Amino acid sequence: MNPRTWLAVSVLFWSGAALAENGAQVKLPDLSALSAKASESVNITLDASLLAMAGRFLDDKNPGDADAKRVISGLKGIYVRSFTFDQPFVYPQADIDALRKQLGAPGWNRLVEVRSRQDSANVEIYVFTVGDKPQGLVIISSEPREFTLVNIVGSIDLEKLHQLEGQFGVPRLGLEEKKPPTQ
Amino acid sequence: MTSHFENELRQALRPAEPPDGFAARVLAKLPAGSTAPARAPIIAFRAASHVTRWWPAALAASFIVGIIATLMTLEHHEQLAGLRARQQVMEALRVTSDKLDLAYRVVRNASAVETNREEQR
Repeated sequence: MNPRTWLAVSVLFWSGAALAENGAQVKLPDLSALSAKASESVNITLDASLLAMAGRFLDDKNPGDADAKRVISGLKGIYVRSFTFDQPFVYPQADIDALRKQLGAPGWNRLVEVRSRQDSANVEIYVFTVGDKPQGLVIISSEPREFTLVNIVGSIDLEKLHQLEGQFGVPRLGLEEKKPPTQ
Repeated sequence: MTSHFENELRQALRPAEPPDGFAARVLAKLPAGSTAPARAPIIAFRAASHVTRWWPAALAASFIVGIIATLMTLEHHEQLAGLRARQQVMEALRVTSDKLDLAYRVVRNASAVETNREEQR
């Protein structure tokens, strides 16, 4: 392979890798206005460097820390925006629709959409795949008094996610099987 | 005229050896017991050289202490940042698992309702 061809292949490879990673990261809406109205808010932004730093401080001897370390080992970013309100709150649909529009891009698939009148809860789970491998996850969850957005970027091992059962209350979901949206 | 004045000035200010016995006559005129001051310049000279000898070492020591203090401060800040990042990771995973659990419960409840309907048929 001559140097020009090698250079072209390298550029294409790394561009593809960068695009895959960038495609898995969505632009979360600016929900600072909700912070002012929420009784409790969680705003977490962890990029690759912070995740690596956190990994160094997770204790392998602690089962919870060890499991968390395994889950985040292939991740490039975790972004969480969560708000809790004292009263039922109407969430900004325009912002959520703008986020859903991003999730219509190639690579994104809606894995789960559940709506419950009983719980008044709506949960949507989207997965970004490159080939057959999940490289991103988005959760949009709205309850009367709680609204949460989660974006996870990186190589998500659904099996490892399953193994969190008991540690963070994650049950076996069968996420490897695409569940039809429940209306 | 100026050069003549300069020459006279040079001549007047030229270094000259003292006459013989000059030092003895000056010492003889000093009050009794005034030999100690003759030593003071020597001690001052030795003290000055002592300080001069240790000044670079003191400066180097201060520099090293400053570097060590800076490194310890940076390490402390990094440790605080790492512990905070760890806390945020655990919180993020908790929130994620909580929402996944919510989806699971809704799906399970919907499945249970569907199963009951089929059994009643």
